Amino acid sequence: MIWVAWRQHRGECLLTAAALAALAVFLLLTGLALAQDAQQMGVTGCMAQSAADCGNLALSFATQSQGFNEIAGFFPLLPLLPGLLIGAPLVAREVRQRTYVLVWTQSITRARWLSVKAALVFLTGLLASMIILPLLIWWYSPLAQVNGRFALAIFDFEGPVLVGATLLALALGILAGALVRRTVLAMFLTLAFFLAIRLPVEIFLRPYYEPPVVAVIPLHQAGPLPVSNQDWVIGGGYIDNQGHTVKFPTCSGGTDCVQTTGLRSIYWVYQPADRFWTFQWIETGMYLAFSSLALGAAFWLVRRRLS
Amino acid sequence: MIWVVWRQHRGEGLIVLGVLALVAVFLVITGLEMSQSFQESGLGNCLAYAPENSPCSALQQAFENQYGFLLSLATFLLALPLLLGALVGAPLVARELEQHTHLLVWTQSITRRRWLTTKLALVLGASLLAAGAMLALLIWWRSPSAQFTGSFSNTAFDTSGPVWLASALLALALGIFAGTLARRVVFAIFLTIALFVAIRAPVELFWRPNFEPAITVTWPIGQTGPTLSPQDWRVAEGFIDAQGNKTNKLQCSGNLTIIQCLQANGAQANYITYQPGDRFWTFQWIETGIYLAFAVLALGAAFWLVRRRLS
Repeated sequence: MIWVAWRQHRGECLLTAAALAALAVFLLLTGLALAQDAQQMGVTGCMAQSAADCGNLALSFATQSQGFNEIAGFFPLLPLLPGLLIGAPLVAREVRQRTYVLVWTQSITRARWLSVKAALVFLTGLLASMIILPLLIWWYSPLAQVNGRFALAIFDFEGPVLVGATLLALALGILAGALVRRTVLAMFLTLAFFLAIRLPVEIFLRPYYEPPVVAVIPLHQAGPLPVSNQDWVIGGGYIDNQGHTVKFPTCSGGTDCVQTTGLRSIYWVYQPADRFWTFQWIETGMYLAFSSLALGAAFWLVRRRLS
Repeated sequence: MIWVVWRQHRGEGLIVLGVLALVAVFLVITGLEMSQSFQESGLGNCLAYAPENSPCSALQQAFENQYGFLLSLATFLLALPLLLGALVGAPLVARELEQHTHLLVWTQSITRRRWLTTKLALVLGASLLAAGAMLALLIWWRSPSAQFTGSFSNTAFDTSGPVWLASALLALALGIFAGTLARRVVFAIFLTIALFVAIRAPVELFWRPNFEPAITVTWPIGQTGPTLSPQDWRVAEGFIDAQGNKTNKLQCSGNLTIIQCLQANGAQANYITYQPGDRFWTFQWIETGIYLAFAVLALGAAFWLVRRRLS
């Protein structure tokens, strides 16, 4: 069975390896250039000493590397690729091309067939994501000094969440293929499931894995801010003289209206940077739980429902 | 033939419409909230009367804090044209070949060229309409923040003009070409993604800053530089060293301020290189032309493959 599974999926595995190699080459080349830039501009040295004084350098570096930030915004979608291209056709292609009539009348049970296939595919996904993860972290490290690792899309490729998301995409792909039984439609469905799980987790659940910290400072106090660029700011605003929170100062034109509308202090709601790894593991656990559910449903479908 | 094309693609068409409807609902809800905050907070008035934005910067900061992540979510909208090309364009020909229904279709009285032309015309036409509607929605959605962040930055540029339509067409053309080349659906999808990224990434990152020679302004150290409007696109900034070369590589040590450090490095002046905001539409049309040229090439190759090579 293992040889059959390998023979069926070897094309996809080789393609994945080739794509991974191409991505690795791209990351190596551009990452070296980025790190060299950061080093020579003094951003690295300055950040190591005192991050608060590096404003101008950080701004100049950020302007220079805006293209890289753009690219980094797409890395959270990387886990989708194996899910779409390997997970979705896993069952769907067999059913579509009716080769399941042969496979499921062999001496091997359907459960065993699916588990060997799924194990092979998951192993590939696990290896691929674990290989690319340190490369991505190294690639982004000059920018991480300036932007922090906790920000919304960056968090997705700075730790085990990437591996969890890859396994989730694969599991959802297999489930979609077993549900829909047409390959392209299964791909659409995988995409829909993936977004339906990841977006709410990322936008609504992640800010509250632990109760956020609130910091308040009076409006015109000088000195360092209580929030550094490594923390994750999830909300904030102003507090007026009556103690109510105000999102925006209402202004009626004119200069420097913030002073004239009875505001007393600024507040931030944030997650401190030292909670980064806790959050990573919590979110990875959630994705692994969803993957198990999806795989369980896929097994049930293959064994009970499909003819 | 038109009915056949509709019948073959109606499933995909409905799914794409569904996806677009979902995205549209998201954009409308968040866009209404953003424009409401924009007006109520007075940021709209402030920018209208004092566009040089130094008195408005606190309001701007509050707006950005509130809606920054929404605007960054918009980056994922850039994947929509790619999705269209990969999931509608790639199976167009590849599915016929994989399921061998081409043996039936290409032995009818209709020529292969006419068959592909009709398919293309309908699919491209429908996609253009959908992309156009989405573009109008995106421009409206972005209009509050565009007043102070400008439309020239990378993400905004891609969703604020004809470049959006051209990238949808490019993705579809590449998908169809990949389908005729690969002849298997999954492989064609993979190839579409690879080709699309291989064309769009270099154009956007390396070619776009240089469509027209950028303007460089220098000013002595210690003075304030030129005021750029938010509609301008900052490409690079730094300083000019003792040899007269533009660079931003500094060796700073100890507790020097920025000015002391610059002087220690032998800097003569600061510089900033930018593209002025009035070139926005020129750049849009140049980039649209580039993508359309690639799309035409891909479609031409697809036609040639269908007529000559495939059995």
